[in-house]
Amino acid sequence: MKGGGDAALRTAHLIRVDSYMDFAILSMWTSNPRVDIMLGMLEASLRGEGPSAGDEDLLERLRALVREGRGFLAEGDFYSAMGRMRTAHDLLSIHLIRLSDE
Amino acid sequence: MEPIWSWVREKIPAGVEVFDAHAHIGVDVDGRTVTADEMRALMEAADVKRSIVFPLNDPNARDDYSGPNEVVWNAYEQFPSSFVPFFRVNPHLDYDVEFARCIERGFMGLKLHPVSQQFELDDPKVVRLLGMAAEADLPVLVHAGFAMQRIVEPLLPTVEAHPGLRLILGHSAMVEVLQATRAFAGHPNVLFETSVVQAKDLYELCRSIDASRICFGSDIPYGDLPSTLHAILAAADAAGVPEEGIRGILSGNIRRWFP
Repeated sequence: MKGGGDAALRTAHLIRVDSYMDFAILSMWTSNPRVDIMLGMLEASLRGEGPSAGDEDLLERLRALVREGRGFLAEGDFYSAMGRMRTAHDLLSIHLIRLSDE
Repeated sequence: MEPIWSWVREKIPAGVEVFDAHAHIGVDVDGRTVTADEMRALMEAADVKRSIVFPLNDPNARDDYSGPNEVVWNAYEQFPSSFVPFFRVNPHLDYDVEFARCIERGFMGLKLHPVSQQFELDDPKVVRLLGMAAEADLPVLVHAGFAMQRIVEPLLPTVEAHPGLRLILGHSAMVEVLQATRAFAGHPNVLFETSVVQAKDLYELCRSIDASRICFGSDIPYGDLPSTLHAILAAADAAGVPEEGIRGILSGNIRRWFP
């Protein structure tokens, strides 16, 4: 078995998060009645340390943005909530693109 | 969001006066509204100097869009140095009178939305309208983003027939972005506008066409300035776009048409 810090495992962990982020954002756009559940699943996917210390700064930023976004959504501020979610999604995508080039 | 916004501010080159090439003023059938004052407040908060503005999918558009177009015109008269007014028409209906009226009024461009008004880009009525815009030397912004299923193939013949047509692909033709960069690379009057496009799509855009062909947009009220600025700056940074290219994306490229 490979060690915990290899690029393949890091990528696998991050594209998992990316999928849950897709679910959550689509649920928000479509006003899905399960949006809160989808956001909870996304937060669960971000919980705990990732396989590499090299991704921790990113994961912490994502946790903060999703937390902020969920808070704005609960207050009815869709505009601010979606801005946080979009930014989190973009940070993750660009991180993955850069990881593919390492 | 504050750390992200700080990064965005640092990435905007000194002296750049950011120009938003895609924003709305008015009312939408989905309930969203933006007034001229609200738009100005958002621009000031993000230090954006000018914005192209046009109506939303207005429930009161009736046949000719004249009412919502006048809302935009009034916003322009209120803040002429901040707004660049585009008008909107429904290609399914008789648009000749409103087209002529808006040209006479002084509108600076036309916005078309194939999803909201349910038309294809190769519909003869749309092809005729785009030809009229080319003849009038009027820039056109076409929604080429969410819910679009055909962009390049129906649009390319019109672009080839009217090489002078100044066309802004709203949302960068995101579902066909690579195909679009290949098809329109040789057509310098086609710009790719970045609003609410995911950073991974924008990365592909920045890697596939010269930065001089890209312009920033927000799509307010569907996007916001901090997150849409972050998306294009993060993508351009990862793609290695030089500072001169960033200057063009944020301001210079669209200012070639609206100095």
